[in-house]
Amino acid sequence: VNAFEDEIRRAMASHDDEAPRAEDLLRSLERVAPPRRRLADWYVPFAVAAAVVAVVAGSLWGVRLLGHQAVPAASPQPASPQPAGRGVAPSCPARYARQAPWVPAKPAGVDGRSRLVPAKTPSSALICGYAGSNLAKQQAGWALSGRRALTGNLAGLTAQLSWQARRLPGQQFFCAGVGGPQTNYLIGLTYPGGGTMWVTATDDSDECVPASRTSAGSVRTRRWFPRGRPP
Amino acid sequence: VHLDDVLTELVADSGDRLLRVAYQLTHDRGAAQDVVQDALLRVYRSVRRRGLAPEDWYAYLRRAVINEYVRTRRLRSSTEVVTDMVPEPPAAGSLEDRAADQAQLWAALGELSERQRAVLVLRYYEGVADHEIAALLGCRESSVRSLARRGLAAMRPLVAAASGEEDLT
Repeated sequence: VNAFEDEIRRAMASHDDEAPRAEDLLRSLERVAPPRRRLADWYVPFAVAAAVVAVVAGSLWGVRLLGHQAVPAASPQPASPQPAGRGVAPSCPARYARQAPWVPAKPAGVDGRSRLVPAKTPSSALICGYAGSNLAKQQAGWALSGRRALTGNLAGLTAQLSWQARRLPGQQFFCAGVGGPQTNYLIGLTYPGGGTMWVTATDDSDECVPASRTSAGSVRTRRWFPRGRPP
Repeated sequence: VHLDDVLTELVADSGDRLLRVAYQLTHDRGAAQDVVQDALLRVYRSVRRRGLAPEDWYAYLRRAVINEYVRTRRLRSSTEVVTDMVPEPPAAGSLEDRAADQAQLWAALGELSERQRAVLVLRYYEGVADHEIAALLGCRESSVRSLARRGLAAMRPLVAAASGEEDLT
């Protein structure tokens, strides 16, 4: 038994180098840290929105899809939202149908329970922008203001979105209450094998709206995410 | 904006060690980070609320890691992908044999129940005494011994099957 136990100890020790490092965790924590004493309260919606906006901004650099400088859609808009489903590539809904955060369909053919997006690279990604104002009385029905299919660095997108920390029980959202432009985004992801998923995020002046796949405040991810300019 | 000093210290003081323990438990880098992340935030709250002494941080964090691992693994057990593929046994040779043995042991550890694995990791990786493991897991010391005994017993045939040997001493 002792020899067997020693072998177990050696086997465990032999995998030490494979473990993640605290410095990576610390670096990620610093990137998502909100002002002091509010870490557990509102870093998640801030981080999620910033993450997705960073991904969108980096991916669409120079194409002026962001905010109110949106350009018309590059191709004819569909008359109605096309739900994401296995084997059906997402296409941009003509309108952002409800108050943000909203997605047109539940994840299909992929694990949508554990993280904002699965930790695997999609085969395609489509970003849809819906520009408006956070002062608007009616924040539903905003028209599609632009869309782009991402053609590169989908692994980078996955790396950012799948590292998003999940919301903790009891967390609350705090809004700055600043009026200004607001752009709602939908990101339609298609995975090898046909799985599809929508993620939504809002670029909002007061950062009140969390990113979500399901409902307000339901950020079901579990990873630290490194914020900043996408690679 | 800088990270709260308490959380920074928690990570700086105990992060590497906790991540290694979590990796021993989960055998997955992402899952290890998840477990430690949750443990850090739970203990962070306690530190802020109850003023835990720094010398107690690691013990609380380790307990939180163990609890989080057991809890999440149970929640996720239905979504795990199982496979009947086993690693190819390597060619004869002492270094390769040793590496193969360790790989088989590592794989066999991954097949244990979450509580069995927690007991073995705490006992053989962290060097924690059985009575302390019992306190960590919230069970009796006899239960810890039983979990360890059953875990070791479960590993032997897995290792023997993978190596093609009938007995392992």
